[in-house]
This record gives sequence, structure tokens and C-alpha cells, in this order.
Amino acid sequence: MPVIGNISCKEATYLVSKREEGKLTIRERLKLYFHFRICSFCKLFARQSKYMGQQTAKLEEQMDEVKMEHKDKEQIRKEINK
Amino acid sequence: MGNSTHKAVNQLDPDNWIDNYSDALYRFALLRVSDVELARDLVQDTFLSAWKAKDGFKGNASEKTWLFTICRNKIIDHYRKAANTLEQYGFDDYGAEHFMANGHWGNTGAPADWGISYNGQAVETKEFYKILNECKDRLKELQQAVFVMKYMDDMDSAEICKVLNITSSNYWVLMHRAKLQLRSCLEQNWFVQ
Repeated sequence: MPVIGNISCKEATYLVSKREEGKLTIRERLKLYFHFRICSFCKLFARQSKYMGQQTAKLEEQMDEVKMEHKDKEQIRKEINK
Repeated sequence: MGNSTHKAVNQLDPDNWIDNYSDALYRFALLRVSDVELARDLVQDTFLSAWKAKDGFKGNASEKTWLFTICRNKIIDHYRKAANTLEQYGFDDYGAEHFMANGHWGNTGAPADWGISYNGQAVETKEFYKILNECKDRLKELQQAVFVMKYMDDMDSAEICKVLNITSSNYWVLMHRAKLQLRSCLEQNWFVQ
């Protein structure tokens, strides 16, 4: 990868997750910075990526209607009492 | 009731485990493995293991924490088994459905504006979370495992690599593929219909 800034959208979006975790090298950070300046799609991808993570963190509390079926509970009760 | 003061901290109440925890453990497991039967088996195994280990319970953690830790370890074992059969995907081996041959977005794969402020507040309609969950369920097993550990369990990449015994480049590729697919699934099924 000879030229800083000249990366593909595929590489840029790969780097987005590393950036979220603060794991970019200085070189990668520069590459991504220059890519974002010319590519609004990848900038949008980064916002959406972060957003998906934030919403996934709420998934468990939001899915509170998920319950185990009664018959399965009874089955487990039997297994335990064997 | 005379010695009720001694019962104040962290004792087990196995007779009520199923009533008290089976729904929450089941939800915990199902959201992480996306397979109804497997989730049920994991909960059953959790209770059986806990039952066998109950005499050794020291009371350092609450009953609830203790049971969830057992369940969580079983889920991680399941992930680890999947990781052992990991197909080795390098950076060059995926993405054709999103990117053109030169690695830039194609005409159809590029992100569309979702018309939201991306501020991370909870979405008001629960339907959104159902769709998000369905899109997550469609991820291949290990992609889902890394995504779930990172965003539901708040682990960092180093911990996840250690738990799954995978390299960091395996991890970043799995995460990249997970996000590409999840993003496009959400966009098609929720944001831009």
C-alpha cells in the first residue's frame, strides 16, 4: 500500500471497526482520514456501524417478550429432579 | 423466622430457580446462539450444572450472577467449538456482494442515508429490535459470536480473541463481514424499504 489515502472502500470499512476500538496505527488513521474526506459513503458506514453497536447493546432489554415455553420448563424440572 | 437474619446474603434457592430465572436465562442464551433448541439445552445444562455444584456455592456472588456465569461459560464453550472449525477467510476472500472488483462500493451496495440522527437513543418501536435481532440471527455463527460479545457483552477484541482462540486478523475480518451484512440487512428491512 504505497500511497496514503488511496485505499478502497472495502479497506476503509474494515478499518472502521478497528477505529471504534481505538486500535488503528497512525498510518491506518491517516489512510482513513483521507479516505473519509473523499468518500461520504464510508463516513456514513462509520456512523451506521456505531449506531448498530449502540442499538445491539439494548437488544436484550428490548426483547423482554422472549420467554421459555411452559412445557420446556416442566421438562427441565423433571430432568433436575431425576 | 428466628434465624432469618442469617439468610441475608447470597444463598441459593434451587427449588425456585426455574420460576425465577428460566425466562431470563433463556433470553440471554437465545439472543447469543439464535437457535431455540440449543438455547433450551443450554438453560437446562445450566440448571443441571448448578444443581450439582450447589453445595460448593460460596456465596461470593448473588445467586443470579452465579447462574448467569454458568450459562455464559456454556455459551462460550459453544462458540469455541465453532471457532475450531473456522473457515479461514482472508481480507481478499469476501465482500463481492457489497463491493466492486476494485474494492469500492458498487451501485447497489453503497450505504443509503437512514434518515435518522444516529444518536444512539433507544428506538421507540419494538419492531425495530425484532428486525435487528433477525438480521443478527442471519449472521454466520462466528460472525455473530464476535458481534454479540463485542456489542452485547461489551468485551474488547483482545478478550474475544483469547476466548475464541482466534487471531486478531480473524477477528477484524469476522467483524467486518458481520457489519457489512447486518448493515445491509437493516437497511433493506427497516430503513429503506
